[in-house]
Amino acid sequence: MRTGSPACPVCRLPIGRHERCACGWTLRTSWTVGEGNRSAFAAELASAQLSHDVRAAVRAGCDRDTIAPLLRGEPTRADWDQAEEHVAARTEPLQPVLTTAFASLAAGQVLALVEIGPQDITITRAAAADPDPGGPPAERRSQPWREVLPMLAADAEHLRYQLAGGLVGVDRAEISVRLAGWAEGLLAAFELPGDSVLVAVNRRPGWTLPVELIDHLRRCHPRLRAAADAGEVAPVLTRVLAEQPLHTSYGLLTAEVGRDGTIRLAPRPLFAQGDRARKTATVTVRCPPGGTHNDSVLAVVTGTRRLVGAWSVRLRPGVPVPVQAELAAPGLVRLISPAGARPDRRSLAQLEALAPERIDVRSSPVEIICLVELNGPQDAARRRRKLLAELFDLLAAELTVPAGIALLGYADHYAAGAADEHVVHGRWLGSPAEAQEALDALPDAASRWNRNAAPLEDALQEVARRCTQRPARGSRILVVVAGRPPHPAAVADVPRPAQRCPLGWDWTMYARRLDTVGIGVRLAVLDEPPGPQENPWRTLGLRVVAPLGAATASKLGEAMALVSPNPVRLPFPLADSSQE
Amino acid sequence: MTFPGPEPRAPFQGRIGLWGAPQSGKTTFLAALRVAVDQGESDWWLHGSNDASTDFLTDMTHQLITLRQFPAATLNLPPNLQWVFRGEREVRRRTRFGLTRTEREVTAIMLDLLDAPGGMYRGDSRRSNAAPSGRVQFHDDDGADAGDGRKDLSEEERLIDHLVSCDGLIYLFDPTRERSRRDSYDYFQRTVMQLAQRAAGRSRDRFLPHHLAVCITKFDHPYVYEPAHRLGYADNTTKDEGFPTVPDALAAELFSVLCASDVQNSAVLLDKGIRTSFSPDRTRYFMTSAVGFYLDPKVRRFQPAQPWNVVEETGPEGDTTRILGGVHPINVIEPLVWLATATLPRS
Ligand SMILES: Nc1nc2c(ncn2[C@@H]2O[C@H](COP(=O)(O)OP(=O)(O)O)[C@@H](O)[C@H]2O)c(=O)[nH]1
Ligand SMILES: [Mg+2]
Ligand SMILES: [Zn+2]
Ligand SMILES: [Zn+2]
Repeated sequence: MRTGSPACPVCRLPIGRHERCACGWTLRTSWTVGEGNRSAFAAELASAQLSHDVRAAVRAGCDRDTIAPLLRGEPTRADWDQAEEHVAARTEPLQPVLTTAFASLAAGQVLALVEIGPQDITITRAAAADPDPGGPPAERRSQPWREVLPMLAADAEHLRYQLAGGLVGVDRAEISVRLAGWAEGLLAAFELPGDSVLVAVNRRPGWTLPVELIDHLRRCHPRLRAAADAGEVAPVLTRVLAEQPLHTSYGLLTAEVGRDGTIRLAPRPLFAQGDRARKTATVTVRCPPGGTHNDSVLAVVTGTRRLVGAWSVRLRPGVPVPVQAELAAPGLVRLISPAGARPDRRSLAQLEALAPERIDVRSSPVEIICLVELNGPQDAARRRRKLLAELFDLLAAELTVPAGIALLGYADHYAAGAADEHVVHGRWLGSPAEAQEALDALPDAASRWNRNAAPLEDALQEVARRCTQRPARGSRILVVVAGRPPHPAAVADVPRPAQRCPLGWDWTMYARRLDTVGIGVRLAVLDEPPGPQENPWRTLGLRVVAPLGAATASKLGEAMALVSPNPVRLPFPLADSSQE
Repeated sequence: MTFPGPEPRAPFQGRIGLWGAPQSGKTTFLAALRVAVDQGESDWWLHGSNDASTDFLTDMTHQLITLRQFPAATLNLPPNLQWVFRGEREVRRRTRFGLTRTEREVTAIMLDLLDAPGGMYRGDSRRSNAAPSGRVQFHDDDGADAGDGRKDLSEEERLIDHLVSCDGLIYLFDPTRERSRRDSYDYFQRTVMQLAQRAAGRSRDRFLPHHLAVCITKFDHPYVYEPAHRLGYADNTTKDEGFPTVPDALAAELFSVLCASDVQNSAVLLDKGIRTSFSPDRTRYFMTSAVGFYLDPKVRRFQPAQPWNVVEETGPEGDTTRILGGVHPINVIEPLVWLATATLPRS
């Protein structure tokens, strides 16, 4: 036993200039102990020592029989009971302390949590709002007490007894020196930045050495915040971290297609810096080209392009899809909608590598005007509508440019002998989904129809009128899906004569107007291939005249130069610009 | 001095036969005749000579005017259909004192519709087998259904008998059919040969003895109206509504023009056949339309852009035609009036 410096006979702390030791023992009086009092003093000291040791044992939760040999004296039952009453120590809950510490944290600053436990001391390094998803940050380093203080016992129970104050037989002064040194060298030892915000939590409130260590830490690091809290640290840390405001914005990674087809990935803002847990946000996207049969990747990234979370999902083509996410915690985002999304475990680099550099698309907006003859042979009438339904699906999935689709269906003049003048149904420019709705809402095919003509001229008149009223937002395309030519303006002596339009409209006039309103691309899909003399189709099918039997949506899309025959897969959704 | 009044006479009974290829418009012509009579454009009137004939006419007219439908192509006609076309005509008569004076005389012409199947005119042997029924079957669908188009041989004989016994014939020539079938000469030729065999002896000259009214039907159809209009035959200044007419003097020429429009056309032969078989003196041409031209109810005037009074429909059950507007028959009474006048013996 070293006796280099005088120590308190009760707790073994080195005696300073104080009259009373921290343990309560009176170290100095003005009068000396007389001979008569010597035995009383001895008894008093022995009692103080025993009670000190018993309290340490009780704090450390030691087994009474196992620890008995280490005690200075033999405690009675009453001594144990009395000790139990005195070990209650003041606590200071960790959570508020941690919350305040995080609040003071500046961007880029590190928070180091020193957790002082019964076996070791653990340093947890937490940056503010760590973006990586998952629980508490991974950087934890522990140091066993015996590394800090080699003089302590190897036996766990004995060690606990010592930590709790049972320090008879060890060099108490040496301990203090080492603890002070440890506290001083903390930042260097754990490679913590000099401006780190320090929080210490004593997991064993009232234990002698943890309390002392905290004192040393306070002395070395005046801005350290300390707590005395026996509870588990990790959940508290998780909780506090979850409540932290974001230090960086989060966004949904979407693809932007440039005028020349180049792809640029850019996050669409979901959460802003300063946002906190439980906030929800929505970004509207569209299914990318080729997305009909492929998954899209919904990836939430930070402003600094770190992946927060990613999901794979099949998006419904043609309609704006709202992507709704909840900030569960910084670094943890929960996808609320679309439903059916599955977590995607790939790294951001892997995901980004999926995107092509460019896709082959047109860049200016288009207006696609579809005219469909409603009546005719049952099979043909059904297939005409089916073709358009497939075309709308395709356009919804493949179009990368804003497109307006108009759908006009026309029935028959001269229904049951009488002249019907209101034969055009449908909807002017809208989304592919709206065109689809309009298609579904068209009247059913009639059971009888005019033999040699259909009121296509009425539909063309509507097109000419609408297109003249408003200049084109982009190029205009006409698609006619029909079986019969339009009614002539005058009944004529032709091989298949037809009644004239009861309104007297002349399709040739409206066909000429197609040029002036910028409808240069014209496609006609006919039940039967037209005869060589059927000149409506030469004008109305300026680019393509295709037989219905051979026409497919993708062939039409290609003929319109809207859809690439070999679409390059773009795995990221497109930002829905129509919602802005 | 009193002169005795005209002696009461039984009305003259002439006979007229209506003749033409299937679908040339015979039934519609008849129904339209009734409409024309009812529209009161002449002093003549038409009635059935029995209940069945009266009912038939009433039904057909109703169908035409109210339902705007043409007679069904396949239809069983009641037997013994016969109508009486009755009116007055002026005759010059010599009195006992050698003076002539003009009298009005009641005239009744029997109009028989022996609506024979087309195959019969053509002499199609497949159709000349025994028929199961004594009724005359109204069956115009030539060629397409030889299976149920069987006819009694005696029926052909009856038709020829009938035509032989007629004083006048109305021959309906359908230019629209000629466009697609080019077979009118077959129908004509077959019948004329048989007529000649049976009736030539009765004639005073080298022609058949009959008066013939050639009615070019479906004047409202673009195949007929368009060329007539284009070539300047149609005159739309004669009628209130502006309906086109072709002066009688030009109708024969227009007929030849229509027939000649295609050199390969059997109509060219038909034109020649008519001129060689029937006396030019006893032949007249009429541009007719049973349903007449379309009259736009909003404008109440004929529109040259829309002469056609028919809408062609189609559907899963096949093709049909409907009448688009009101029925304004053209030149349906005139051929009968002419025949009634021309066929009577001069007193
Ligand atoms: N455009 C036009 N078509 C007619 C006229 N009369 C008849 N038709 C057409 O010709 C078809 C046959 O007529 P129909 O009287 O049955 O002929 P039939 O077989 O000679 O008795 C009708 O269904 C109509 O389509 C007419 O005056 N004008
Ligand atoms: Mg008939
Ligand atoms: Zn002490
Ligand atoms: Zn029209």
